[in-house]
Amino acid sequence: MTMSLGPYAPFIVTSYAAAALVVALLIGWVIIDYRNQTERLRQLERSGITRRSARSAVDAP
Amino acid sequence: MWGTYWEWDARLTSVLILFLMYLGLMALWRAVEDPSRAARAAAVLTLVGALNLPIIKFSVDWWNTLHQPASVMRMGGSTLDKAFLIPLLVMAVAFTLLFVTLHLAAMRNEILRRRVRSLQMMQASRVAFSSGVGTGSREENASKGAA
Repeated sequence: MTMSLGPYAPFIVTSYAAAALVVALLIGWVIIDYRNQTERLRQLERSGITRRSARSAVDAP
Repeated sequence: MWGTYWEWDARLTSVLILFLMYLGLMALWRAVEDPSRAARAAAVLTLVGALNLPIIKFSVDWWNTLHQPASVMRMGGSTLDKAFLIPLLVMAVAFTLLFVTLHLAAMRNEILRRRVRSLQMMQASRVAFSSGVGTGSREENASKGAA
Protein backbone atom coordinates (compact mmCIF):
# COMPACT_ATOMS: atom_id res chain seq x y z
CA MET A 1 0.00 0.00 0.00
CA THR A 2 1.51 3.33 -1.00
CA MET A 3 0.44 6.70 0.30
CA SER A 4 -0.47 9.29 -2.30
CA LEU A 5 1.14 12.60 -1.35
CA GLY A 6 -0.34 14.56 -4.25
CA PRO A 7 1.37 17.51 -5.91
CA TYR A 8 3.24 18.44 -2.71
CA ALA A 9 5.14 15.11 -2.61
CA PRO A 10 8.59 16.63 -3.42
CA PHE A 11 8.18 19.24 -0.65
CA ILE A 12 7.03 16.65 1.93
CA VAL A 13 9.72 14.09 1.07
CA THR A 14 12.47 16.76 1.04
CA SER A 15 11.33 18.13 4.40
CA TYR A 16 11.32 14.71 6.07
CA ALA A 17 14.69 13.83 4.52
CA ALA A 18 16.25 17.14 5.69
CA ALA A 19 14.89 16.70 9.22
CA ALA A 20 16.15 13.10 9.37
CA LEU A 21 19.58 14.20 8.11
CA VAL A 22 19.89 16.98 10.71
CA VAL A 23 18.85 14.64 13.56
CA ALA A 24 21.31 11.96 12.33
CA LEU A 25 24.11 14.56 12.14
CA LEU A 26 23.36 15.76 15.68
CA ILE A 27 23.42 12.21 17.08
CA GLY A 28 26.62 11.41 15.14
CA TRP A 29 28.28 14.64 16.33
CA VAL A 30 27.56 13.85 20.00
CA ILE A 31 28.82 10.24 19.66
CA ILE A 32 32.04 11.25 17.81
CA ASP A 33 32.70 14.06 20.30
CA TYR A 34 32.34 11.59 23.20
CA ARG A 35 34.80 9.16 21.57
CA ASN A 36 37.31 11.96 20.89
CA GLN A 37 37.19 13.27 24.47
CA THR A 38 37.52 9.82 26.07
CA GLU A 39 40.45 9.01 23.74
CA ARG A 40 42.25 12.29 24.63
CA LEU A 41 41.62 11.61 28.32
CA ARG A 42 42.99 8.09 27.97
CA GLN A 43 46.12 9.38 26.20
CA LEU A 44 46.76 11.94 28.94
CA GLU A 45 46.30 9.36 31.69
CA ARG A 46 48.58 6.94 29.84
CA SER A 47 51.29 9.59 29.83
CA GLY A 48 51.03 9.85 33.61
CA ILE A 49 48.87 12.96 33.87
CA THR A 50 46.01 12.08 36.23
CA ARG A 51 43.49 13.99 38.25
CA ARG A 52 44.27 14.80 41.86
CA SER A 53 41.34 12.64 43.04
CA ALA A 54 42.63 9.68 40.99
CA ARG A 55 46.19 10.24 42.29
CA SER A 56 45.14 10.35 45.92
CA ALA A 57 43.17 7.11 45.46
CA VAL A 58 46.30 5.44 44.05
CA ASP A 59 48.66 6.97 46.64
CA ALA A 60 46.43 6.08 49.58
CA PRO A 61 47.86 3.27 51.78
CA MET B 1 0.87 23.87 4.36
CA TRP B 2 0.52 27.42 3.09
CA GLY B 3 1.69 26.78 -0.48
CA THR B 4 5.02 28.59 -0.09
CA TYR B 5 8.57 27.72 0.90
CA TRP B 6 9.32 31.05 2.53
CA GLU B 7 7.38 34.17 3.48
CA TRP B 8 8.36 37.16 5.65
CA ASP B 9 5.59 36.06 7.99
CA ALA B 10 5.69 37.08 11.69
CA ARG B 11 6.15 33.52 13.01
CA LEU B 12 8.66 32.43 10.39
CA THR B 13 10.70 35.63 10.76
CA SER B 14 10.76 35.52 14.58
CA VAL B 15 11.87 31.86 14.49
CA LEU B 16 14.56 32.81 11.93
CA ILE B 17 15.83 35.42 14.42
CA LEU B 18 15.91 32.71 17.12
CA PHE B 19 17.90 30.45 14.76
CA LEU B 20 20.41 33.24 14.06
CA MET B 21 20.72 33.83 17.82
CA TYR B 22 21.56 30.15 18.34
CA LEU B 23 24.26 30.40 15.66
CA GLY B 24 25.61 33.57 17.33
CA LEU B 25 25.60 31.81 20.70
CA MET B 26 27.59 28.89 19.30
CA ALA B 27 30.05 31.27 17.61
CA LEU B 28 30.47 33.31 20.81
CA TRP B 29 31.05 30.16 22.88
CA ARG B 30 33.79 29.00 20.51
CA ALA B 31 35.34 32.45 20.02
CA VAL B 32 36.32 32.98 23.68
CA GLU B 33 39.10 30.62 24.78
CA ASP B 34 38.64 30.80 28.56
CA PRO B 35 35.52 28.64 29.33
CA SER B 36 34.43 30.69 32.37
CA ARG B 37 34.55 33.97 30.41
CA ALA B 38 32.82 32.30 27.46
CA ALA B 39 30.12 30.98 29.81
CA ARG B 40 29.47 34.46 31.24
CA ALA B 41 29.18 36.03 27.77
CA ALA B 42 26.96 33.19 26.55
CA ALA B 43 24.72 33.52 29.63
CA VAL B 44 24.20 37.25 28.97
CA LEU B 45 23.38 36.60 25.30
CA THR B 46 20.98 33.79 26.31
CA LEU B 47 19.10 36.10 28.68
CA VAL B 48 18.82 38.77 25.97
CA GLY B 49 17.75 36.12 23.45
CA ALA B 50 15.04 34.83 25.80
CA LEU B 51 13.16 38.10 25.14
CA ASN B 52 12.43 36.68 21.69
CA LEU B 53 10.44 33.72 23.10
CA PRO B 54 7.21 35.59 24.01
CA ILE B 55 7.51 37.46 20.70
CA ILE B 56 7.53 34.10 18.86
CA LYS B 57 4.58 32.82 20.90
CA PHE B 58 2.37 35.88 20.43
CA SER B 59 3.59 36.94 16.97
CA VAL B 60 0.64 35.17 15.32
CA ASP B 61 -1.81 37.17 17.47
CA TRP B 62 -0.01 40.54 17.25
CA TRP B 63 0.59 40.53 13.49
CA ASN B 64 -1.96 39.24 11.02
CA THR B 65 0.30 37.57 8.46
CA LEU B 66 0.30 34.21 6.66
CA HIS B 67 0.47 31.98 9.77
CA GLN B 68 -2.91 31.24 11.31
CA PRO B 69 -3.67 32.57 14.83
CA ALA B 70 -2.93 30.33 17.84
CA SER B 71 -4.64 26.97 17.20
CA VAL B 72 -3.16 24.52 19.73
CA MET B 73 -2.61 26.29 23.05
CA ARG B 74 -5.48 28.73 23.27
CA MET B 75 -8.42 29.60 25.52
CA GLY B 76 -11.40 27.40 24.60
CA GLY B 77 -9.31 24.44 23.46
CA SER B 78 -7.52 23.46 20.30
CA THR B 79 -9.12 24.14 16.92
CA LEU B 80 -7.14 21.32 15.30
CA ASP B 81 -8.82 18.09 14.29
CA LYS B 82 -7.73 15.07 16.38
CA ALA B 83 -6.24 13.49 13.25
CA PHE B 84 -3.66 16.33 13.25
CA LEU B 85 -3.49 17.17 16.96
CA ILE B 86 -2.55 13.69 18.25
CA PRO B 87 0.42 13.11 15.86
CA LEU B 88 1.54 16.69 16.52
CA LEU B 89 1.59 16.16 20.30
CA VAL B 90 3.24 12.72 19.99
CA MET B 91 6.02 14.22 17.86
CA ALA B 92 6.37 17.18 20.22
CA VAL B 93 6.94 14.77 23.13
CA ALA B 94 9.31 12.62 21.01
CA PHE B 95 11.46 15.59 19.96
CA THR B 96 11.52 16.94 23.52
CA LEU B 97 12.81 13.57 24.78
CA LEU B 98 15.37 13.46 21.96
CA PHE B 99 16.51 16.98 22.86
CA VAL B 100 16.85 16.10 26.57
CA THR B 101 18.85 12.96 25.70
CA LEU B 102 21.19 14.81 23.33
CA HIS B 103 21.56 17.66 25.82
CA LEU B 104 22.55 15.26 28.63
CA ALA B 105 25.05 13.53 26.31
CA ALA B 106 26.48 16.92 25.26
CA MET B 107 26.79 17.92 28.95
CA ARG B 108 28.77 14.74 29.61
CA ASN B 109 31.03 15.60 26.65
CA GLU B 110 31.53 19.12 28.01
CA ILE B 111 32.55 17.74 31.43
CA LEU B 112 35.07 15.43 29.69
CA ARG B 113 36.35 18.36 27.58
CA ARG B 114 36.96 20.45 30.70
CA ARG B 115 38.71 17.52 32.38
CA VAL B 116 40.97 17.13 29.32
CA ARG B 117 41.68 20.87 29.37
CA SER B 118 42.66 20.88 33.06
CA LEU B 119 44.90 17.82 32.56
CA GLN B 120 46.55 19.49 29.56
CA MET B 121 47.21 22.59 31.67
CA MET B 122 48.65 20.37 34.41
CA GLN B 123 50.87 18.68 31.81
CA ALA B 124 52.03 22.06 30.47
CA SER B 125 52.87 23.32 33.98
CA ARG B 126 54.85 20.11 34.69
CA VAL B 127 56.83 20.55 31.48
CA ALA B 128 57.48 24.21 32.35
CA PHE B 129 58.52 23.26 35.90
CA SER B 130 60.86 20.46 34.79
CA SER B 131 62.52 22.70 32.19
CA GLY B 132 62.98 25.43 34.79
CA VAL B 133 60.63 27.93 33.16
CA GLY B 134 58.50 29.66 35.76
CA THR B 135 60.94 29.42 38.66
CA GLY B 136 62.89 32.61 37.93
CA SER B 137 61.98 36.22 37.36
CA ARG B 138 59.75 37.28 34.47
CA GLU B 139 62.81 38.39 32.44
CA GLU B 140 64.63 35.11 33.14
CA ASN B 141 61.59 33.06 32.13
CA ALA B 142 61.18 35.06 28.95
CA SER B 143 64.81 34.45 28.00
CA LYS B 144 64.43 30.71 28.86
CA GLY B 145 61.25 30.51 26.81
CA ALA B 146 62.95 32.24 23.88
CA ALA B 147 65.91 29.88 24.11
